[in-house]
Amino acid sequence: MLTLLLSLHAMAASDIVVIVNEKNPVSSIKSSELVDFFMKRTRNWPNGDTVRFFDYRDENVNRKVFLKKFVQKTSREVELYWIGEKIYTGNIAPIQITSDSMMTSMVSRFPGGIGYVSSKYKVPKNVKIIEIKKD
Amino acid sequence: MTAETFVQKSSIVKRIRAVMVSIVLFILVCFIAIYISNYNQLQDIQMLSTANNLLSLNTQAIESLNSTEQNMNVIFVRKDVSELRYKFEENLKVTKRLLFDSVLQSKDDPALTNYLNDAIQALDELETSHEVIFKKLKNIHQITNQQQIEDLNADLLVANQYLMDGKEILRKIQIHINKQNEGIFSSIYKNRYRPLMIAIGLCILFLTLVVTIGWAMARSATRSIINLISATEEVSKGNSDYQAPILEKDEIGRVTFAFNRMVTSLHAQQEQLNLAMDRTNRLQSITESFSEALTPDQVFEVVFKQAFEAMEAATGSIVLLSEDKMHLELKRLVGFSEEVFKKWQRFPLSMDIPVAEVVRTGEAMFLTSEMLEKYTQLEANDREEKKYAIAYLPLIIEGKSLGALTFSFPISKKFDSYQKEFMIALARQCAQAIHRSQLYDDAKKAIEVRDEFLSIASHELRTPLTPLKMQIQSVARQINNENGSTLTPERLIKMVETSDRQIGRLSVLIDDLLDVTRISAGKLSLNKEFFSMQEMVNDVVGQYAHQFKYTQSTVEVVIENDMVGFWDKVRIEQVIINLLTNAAKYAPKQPILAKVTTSGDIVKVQVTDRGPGIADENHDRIFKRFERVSDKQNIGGLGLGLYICKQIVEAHQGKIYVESTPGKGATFTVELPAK
Repeated sequence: MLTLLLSLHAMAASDIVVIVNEKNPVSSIKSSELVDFFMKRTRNWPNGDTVRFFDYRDENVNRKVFLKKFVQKTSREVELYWIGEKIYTGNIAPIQITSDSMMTSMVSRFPGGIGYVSSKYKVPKNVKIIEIKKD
Repeated sequence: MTAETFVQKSSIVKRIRAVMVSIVLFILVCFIAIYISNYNQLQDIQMLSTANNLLSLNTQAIESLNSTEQNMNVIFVRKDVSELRYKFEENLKVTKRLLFDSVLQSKDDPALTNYLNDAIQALDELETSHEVIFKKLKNIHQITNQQQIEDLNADLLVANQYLMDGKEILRKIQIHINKQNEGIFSSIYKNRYRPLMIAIGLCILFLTLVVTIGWAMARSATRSIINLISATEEVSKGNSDYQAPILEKDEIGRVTFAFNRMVTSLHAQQEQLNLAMDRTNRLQSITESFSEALTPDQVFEVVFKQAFEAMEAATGSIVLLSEDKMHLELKRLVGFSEEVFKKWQRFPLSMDIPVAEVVRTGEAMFLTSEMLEKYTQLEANDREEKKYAIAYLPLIIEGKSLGALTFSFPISKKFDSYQKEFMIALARQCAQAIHRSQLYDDAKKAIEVRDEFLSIASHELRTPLTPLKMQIQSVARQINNENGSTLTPERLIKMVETSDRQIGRLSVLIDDLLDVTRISAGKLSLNKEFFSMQEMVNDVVGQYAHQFKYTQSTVEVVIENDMVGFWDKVRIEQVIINLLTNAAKYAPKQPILAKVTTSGDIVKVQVTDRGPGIADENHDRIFKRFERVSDKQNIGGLGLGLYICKQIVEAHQGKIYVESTPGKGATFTVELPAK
C-alpha cells in the first residue's frame, strides 16, 4: 500500500516540463521533435544553434517519467539504442545530470540547450518552459 | 596503243607502312589503357593508405581525449592542480596537432574536413572551459558556498559536454573513414581482374586485327599476282591481244598495266608486220602479173582485176597522155556509166581537175569527196552520191608522167601512210608495166615497118632488074641469031640506054641504102667547099631537065638572093634533087617552084608543088626511116629520101620542114646557115 502510495506520489510528484535556454525563440515543439532531439536525430535548432540535450541519470524520477511519457521506451532499450548509435553513427548518449538545479544551470549555459525538470521545481529566469504538443 | 595513263591510287608499301604504324599506335594505346585501369586501383590504394593514416591519427586523438576524460574525473581528487593542468594542456595540444595533421591529409574529402574543423572547434571550447575551471580551482579556497560548488560542477559538466562533442565527432570521423575504406576495398575487389581483362581483350583485338589485315593484304596481292601470271599464260598461248584486268590500283596494278601496254604494242606491231607482209605479197603478185602483161590492155586488166580487188576500191580509172602530150585519154573507167566514159574519153591536160593536176605535177593526191567541191569543172554526175575517199596517183617513168591512176573508196577516210605507200608503189609498178608495154608496142611496130621495108626494098630492087634482064637476054638472043638483021645499031643503042637507065635506078636505090646504113652507123662525112646556091640549083634543074620532061613537070627557078656558103656540095645537091624528084613524082604534070632566098646568114631553099599535099599528122612522120605517106602502088621508092635529106641538113646545122594544105600542094623548106 505504501509502495503503491509512494508510487502514486511519485507519479503525481514526477510530472515534468521541458525547458530551453531563455534566448531560444522556440516556444513549443511537438513531442516527436522532442524525441528526435533526445535521440540526436535532429542536431540543430531552426535558428542554427546546436541542440544539446541534457538527460538525467537512470535512477532519476524525472527520467522515468520522460522515458515513459515521450520516448515510450524502457531505460534498457534506450541504453541498447545508444550502444548501437555509438557503433553505427558515432553518436554518444547525452550527458546525464543528477539534479534539477544542475539541469537548469546547464540549459542556461548553452544557447541550444534543452532539458527537462520536475514540474514542481521553480524554474529560474534564465531558462524557459516550452509547450509540448501532441503529434 | 591505248592513250590512257595509269594513276596509282594505292600502294602496297604504303599500306604495309600504315599497318605497321597503326600496330605501334595500337600497342601504345594498349599500354595507356592498361596503365589507366591500373591507375584507378593505385589511387584507391593510395586513398586507402591516407585513410589508414587518418584512422591512426584519429585513434590517437581519441585515446588522448580518453586520457583527458580520465584526468577530468580525478580533477577534484588530485592535489597538484598545476600538474593536472599541464597534462590537460599537453593532451589537448597533442590532440589538436593530430587533428591538424589529419586536416592536411584530408583535403580531398570536404565532409571529413568539416568534421575535423568541428572537432577542433570543440577542442577549442574544451580548452576555454578548462581554463575557466582551473582559474576557479586556483582560488579554491574562495569557494565557500553551495552555489559556488554547484557552478564549478556545472563548469565541469560544460567541459565534459565539449569533450563529448569532440569524441562524438572523432567517432563519426572514424565511421566515415571506415565506410570510405569499405568502398575502396569493394572497388579494389570488384576491379581486381580489370587490368588483366583489358590486357587480354586488347591482345585478342590486336591479334584479330593483325590476322585480318595481313590475310586481306596477302589475298589481294596474291590475287593480283595470279591474275598477272594467268595473263602471261594467256599471251604465251597465242592470245596476243589479251588484256589482264587491273584489280587494284597499286604497284601490281601498275605492273599489270605496263604488261597490258606491252602486249598491246606487241600486238599492234605484229599486226602491222602482218599488214606489211600482206601488202608486199599482194604487190609481188601484182608485179608478177604486170611482168606477164605485154600490151597496155593487159596492164589495165591487171590493174582493174587484181589491184582493184586487193585494195577493195569502189571505182577506178586510168588515164594516159596522148601522143601530142597535150591531152589525156581515159583508157579504163570502172564504176561509172558509159556516158561518163564517153564524156571524158579525151580532155585537155590543162583542165582544172585533180587528175590533170596530178599528171602535171607528178605528185600523188589523196582527197575526200568534200574536197572535190573546189574543182568546178567536175559536174555532179562525174562523182558518186555517197561520200568517199579518192586517191590520184601519177604514173611516172624516168621522171616523166605517162598518165594517172585513180581509185576511190566508199568511205570518207584519210589514208594512212602505209596505204599511201602501197598505192604509190602500185602506181610505180603500173607505170613501168605500161612503159614496158609501150616499148613492146613500139618494137613490134618497128619490126613490122622493117618487114614492110624489106618487102618494098626487094620489090623496088627487083623492078629495074626484070626489064634489064629482058633487054640483055634480047640483045644476046639477037646477037646469037645468024640471020638477025633485025638488030640495027639504033635499036641496040636504045636498048643499051634503057638498060643504063635501069642500072642508074638501081644504083640510086643502092646509094640510098648505103647512105642510110652510113647515117645509122654515124659515118656520114661531109666534104665542104664554097659554092653558090643559085648555081647549084640551076645546075641541078638543068641536069634533071629530061626527067622532068618525062613526068611533064615544069620547073620554075626563082632566085631572090644568092648566097655562097661552105657546104658539102654533093650532099646538098642530093637534098635538092630529092625534093625536086619527089615533087615530080607525087605531083606529075604540075608546075614546080624552086625558090632561093636569104635572111641574114641563112639561105632558104623552098620547093613547092601542087600535088595532093600532106596531112598535118604526117608532117613529122615523113622524115622518118621507111615511111611513105602515099599508098599509091604506082609510086615507087624506099621511103628513105626525106630521111636522108633531114640527116644531111641537120649535119649542116640546118632545118628541113614541110608546110602543106592537103589537096593544094606542099612546100618543103631547107634552111642552111652560111657556115
